[in-house]
Amino acid sequence: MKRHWKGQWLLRLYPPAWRERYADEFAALLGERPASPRDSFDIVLGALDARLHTDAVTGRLVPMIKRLRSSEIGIFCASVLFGVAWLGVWQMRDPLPVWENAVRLHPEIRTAFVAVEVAGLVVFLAVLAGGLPLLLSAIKQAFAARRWSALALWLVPFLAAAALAGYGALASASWTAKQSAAPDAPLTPLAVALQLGLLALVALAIGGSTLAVALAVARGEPSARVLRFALAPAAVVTLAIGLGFVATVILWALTLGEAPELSSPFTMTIVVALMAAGTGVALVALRRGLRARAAPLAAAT
Amino acid sequence: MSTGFSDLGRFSDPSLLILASLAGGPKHGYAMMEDIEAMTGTHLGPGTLYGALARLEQRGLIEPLPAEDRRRPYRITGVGTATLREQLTNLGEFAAVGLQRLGAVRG
Repeated sequence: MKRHWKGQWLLRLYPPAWRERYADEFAALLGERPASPRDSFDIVLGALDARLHTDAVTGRLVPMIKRLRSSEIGIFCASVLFGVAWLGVWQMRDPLPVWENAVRLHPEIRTAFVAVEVAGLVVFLAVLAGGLPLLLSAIKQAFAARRWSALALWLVPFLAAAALAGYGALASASWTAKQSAAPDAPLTPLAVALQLGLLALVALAIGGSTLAVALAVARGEPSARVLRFALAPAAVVTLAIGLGFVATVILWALTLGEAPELSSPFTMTIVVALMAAGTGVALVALRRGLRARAAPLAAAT
Repeated sequence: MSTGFSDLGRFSDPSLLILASLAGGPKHGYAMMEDIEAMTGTHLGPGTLYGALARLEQRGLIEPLPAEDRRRPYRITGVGTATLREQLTNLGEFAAVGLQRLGAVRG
């Protein structure tokens, strides 16, 4: 017991960055194999080495992994912002006859719209490509460690989608039945309430799911390899968000000038603002991730 | 692609032992110490072990795995495997030449 206590005390000789990275596992090792006088001397030498080589010794890998992880969470949140804005662009097609007439007269509007559509598809696929390994790794770890709360966080998006689908089906059925019976009648208070409720539920589902996924990744311990792999799809997401933003700005300018009936200036302003925010967040997060990935190699050379 | 050990100084031998130990599968620190003692009779102190682990990790020769109850296993990477193979091959060639010369001396 006395030797065990001495070994743990010697840990304090190591620099803070080193302790942040290795203290837990080092203490666990000393718990299993208490330090002999020879080992205690070895620990002192190790602490001196760590203090003399603070750049060479990897106190940075934990910050590197944390920066990679926060970078990818940032890009995920940016993709959600982009997705919400993308839905705002998509609603320009409603009502369809007005849309078809506008793009027949101004085909460049359709071109810009398709560019935004493609950007959205690329963002979705790249998020899947980068997110699935993270998801599978996190589920595997959660099962192995029996961390059921971590698993619960990953279930939130699926539960939110199910709740949304159920409410949407009920609200839509009620509203459609009434509209079919009297197409020209104004919306009843119930129909208005149902639609507002649906909007609120959508906002809650998107916000709650984004937060749950971000927390699940932040609390999990994906390996450095999975995080490094996810950086490539994250870069693709960022590029697609940027291009989608540019296409949306062009679309905005075109609809304002040539087909204002397609969307209200207020709605498009919100859409562009959301996309700008998403682009900004993605760029900052990607830069952070690329610098974090490069840091250990730079330190080694 | 492999990475040489020339810049590891006094940690080059412990690093080689750690890579050889991890070539047999992921291990945490205590398991590495036990395995190295069983394999070679060499006792690695905790300070030396973690000094080498930190350097190997920084060079991408090993990577940490998620911690299990405070114990964090490590795994050898592809670069680490290539480096280990190169180092052991060089040592093998050196051992072969040395033994041949010893044989000539006795003869």
